[in-house]
Amino acid sequence: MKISFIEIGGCGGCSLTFMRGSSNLPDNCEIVYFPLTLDVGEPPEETDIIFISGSVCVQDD
Amino acid sequence: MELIASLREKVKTIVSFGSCAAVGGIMRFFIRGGQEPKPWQATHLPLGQFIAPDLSVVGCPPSPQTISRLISSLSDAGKDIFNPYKKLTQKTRLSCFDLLDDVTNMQLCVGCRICEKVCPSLAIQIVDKLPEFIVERCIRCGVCYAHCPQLNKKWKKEDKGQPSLQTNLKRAE
Repeated sequence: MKISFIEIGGCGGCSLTFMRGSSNLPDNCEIVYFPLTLDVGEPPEETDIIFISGSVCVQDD
Repeated sequence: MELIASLREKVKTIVSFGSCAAVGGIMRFFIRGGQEPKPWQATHLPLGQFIAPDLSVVGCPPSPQTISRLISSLSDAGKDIFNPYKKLTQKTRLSCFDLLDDVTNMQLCVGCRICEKVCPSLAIQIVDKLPEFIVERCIRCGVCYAHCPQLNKKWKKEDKGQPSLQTNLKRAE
């Protein structure tokens, strides 16, 4: 099972806890960490579950 | 946002993770007493207002145990596990006032003290077997609401007979 974690904002607390919580997962789980805030390209498309953290900022500036 | 919206069509399960993504959380901290946000506070909105997530996991932040339990329950497609986080996707805001409206005022509270124990900002105290809220401390994370056993019991009754998320995932495969 492929799991992606996308961070779109927030304080970063969710990402840290996610890393802690995902340390003892079943062997069939593969996790991709994708911080959208760092602009690291396209997010993974072939994934079963996506976790999205952070609220959506609608202000441009 | 377009990127996330495009993923909605491709991915089977999307989880709003943390109170910011689920209900706006601390980014809408200054909205007091269940009021509508003022224009300068309405810049950070929950994910549910743009795409439809399958689950909303509240918590500031959610505990590591919640994460491992959630992932194991989602990966176990053969088992129908009730998921209270499915119910929270209908909420766009949560605070101690929701617990007051839906549990205390509906006379559902049994004084179990779970809300008092799970509140990360110690905004709830049980006095005379009923929760009392220190509104100034509430960070609007919704953890008390998600963990209330009386609400969970109510949701379970409402969901009886409906296919669980695990069953839907299995069908999609």
